[in-house]
Amino acid sequence: MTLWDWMATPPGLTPHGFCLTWAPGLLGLHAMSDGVTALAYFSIPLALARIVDQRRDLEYRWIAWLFGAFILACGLTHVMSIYTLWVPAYGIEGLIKLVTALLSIATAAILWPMIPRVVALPSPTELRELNSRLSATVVEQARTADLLRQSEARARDVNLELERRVAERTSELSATNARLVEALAQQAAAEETRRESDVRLRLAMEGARLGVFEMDIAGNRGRLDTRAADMTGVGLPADAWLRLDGPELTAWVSHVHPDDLAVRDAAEAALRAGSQETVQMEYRARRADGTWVWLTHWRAVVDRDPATGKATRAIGLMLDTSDRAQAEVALRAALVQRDLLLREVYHRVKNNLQIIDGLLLMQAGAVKDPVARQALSGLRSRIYALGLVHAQLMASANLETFDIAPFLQELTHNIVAGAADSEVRLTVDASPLEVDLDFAVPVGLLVTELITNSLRHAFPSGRGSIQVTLAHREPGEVVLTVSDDGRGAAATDRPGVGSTIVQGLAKQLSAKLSVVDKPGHTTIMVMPTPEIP
Amino acid sequence: MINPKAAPTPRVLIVDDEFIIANSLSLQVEEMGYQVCGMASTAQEAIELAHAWRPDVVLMDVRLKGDRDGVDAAIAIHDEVGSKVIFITGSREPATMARIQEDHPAGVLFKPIYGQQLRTAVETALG
Repeated sequence: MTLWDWMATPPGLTPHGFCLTWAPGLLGLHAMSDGVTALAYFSIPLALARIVDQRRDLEYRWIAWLFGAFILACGLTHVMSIYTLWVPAYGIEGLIKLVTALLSIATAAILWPMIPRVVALPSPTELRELNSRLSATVVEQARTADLLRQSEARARDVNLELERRVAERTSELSATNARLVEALAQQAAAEETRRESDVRLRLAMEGARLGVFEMDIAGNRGRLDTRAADMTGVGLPADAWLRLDGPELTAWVSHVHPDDLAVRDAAEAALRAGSQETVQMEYRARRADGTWVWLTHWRAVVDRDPATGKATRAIGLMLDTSDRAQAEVALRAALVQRDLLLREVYHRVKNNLQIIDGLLLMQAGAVKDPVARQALSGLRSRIYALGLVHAQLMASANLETFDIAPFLQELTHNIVAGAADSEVRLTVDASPLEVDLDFAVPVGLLVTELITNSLRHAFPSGRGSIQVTLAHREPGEVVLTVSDDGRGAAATDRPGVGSTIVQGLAKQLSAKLSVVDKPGHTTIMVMPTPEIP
Repeated sequence: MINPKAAPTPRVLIVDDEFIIANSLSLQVEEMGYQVCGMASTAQEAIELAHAWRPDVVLMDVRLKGDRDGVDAAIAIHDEVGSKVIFITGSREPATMARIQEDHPAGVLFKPIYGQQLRTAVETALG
């Protein structure tokens, strides 16, 4: 016997209908009830499957599947109950019941622990409530979202405004920054210039060997730099603040030459009082080694008291001018020497002219011929004119030039006075004119010649007048006039030494010579003003 | 040459270390009609001659040979003899003028001398 025979048609067993004695009513009742139950049982898993299929959101879907399987198994047991009414397939029926039992047990075993979890699932009421709350929340959220949008729009506007202002401010800042950069560049350039001029100043100070003395008058202190300290030569400390009335500086002032103290004190007082912006003083100072130095000291006010105007700070520059001072002393001595020598030369020239005059006088005494005597006398007056020029030069301050006006006065008066037995009146009207030897000698000789001519020839009676004028005419021109009121046509119409001298000297002076004869006799010379260096 | 009993012709002493100048002065003085009682070229010589001749007028050059100048001689002569002194100087410098004024001179002539200057000075000195 096979397993299938054992299950489907076990031998020795009777169908269930047999137990029911094949009673048609009982058989029908059982068969019909089991059939309907089985149909109902088979329809339930279909319904469950549909529900599960439609409601994808259901939790614990596998429970539905488990129920479906268990109910399907229950349905199969009912089908087997019908089958066994007529066929004793109790093995298959038992197996199906075993499967049903296992599914039932499994379902039951799983269902119990599931109870709290399934109970915890929200009920539809709760869901509705929840839903309504949710709806409210959603509405609320929509409103909030709307507000949020409005607020966002406002925020966007504000943001735009902010951005605009930021841009504006940024542009302002950029401009400011640019200005700042430019200002910094200018400052840097100024700084560069300042540094450069500092360097120049330092170089200049070094090159010129200038020492610096800073005076903080308000603070009663002063400071020398190294060069200034060296210059004083008495071991004053460099680059250290010293009290202005302290022992070091007081000791230094005591080294100043007594003759130069007044100069120094006056300059110092003027600076402190503020009456002068800058002062300069030159003084000698004795160094520690006993030698004397000449110091030139400039001081300038740096700051002053606004109320009193007195200097509160000053800066001083010191320069050792010993070399220059010595050179100046030597130069002055040389100039004095030169003046002495020049005076001596003029003196000797004058003296020699006086000797020549003496010789002429002696010679004239030995000459009997009146023409020769007159010639010698004429020579004397010319020599006198030369001597008088040198006398003027000796008396002049620069030993080179002098005013020709008093010279003409003295010369003409003495010549006129020297003419014996004459009553000639002389008028001299000479403008001041500074001249040198090269101008004075020919003019002196010319005037001497012209006056001598007039004295000899113009006045047979010995009476008359002579006029001499010297005047500035055009710029750069002087006019010399010698005139008399005598009989006219005196000398120049007679060729002679006098005439030659007059013509020649006029040419030497680049003078335009013109003569007006009758009434009297007038000689006019227009000549360039002498150039005095 | 000199006769003290004769009419009182004024005596003039000439002091100059340049012979030619002294000589020409002498000629001019004699031409004026005065007596030249001597010519000296040093201060010492001038003082000695002044003592010997007691001149009325001395024509005195300021610069002289030797260690004493014309002013020294003039002061001595003025004090000891009483002669009038006319200085003849080549210099118009203040130092020389101040030196000359120490003697209260009767006249001062500046070289070069010309024309009537000498005559006028001597006549003025003699009064």
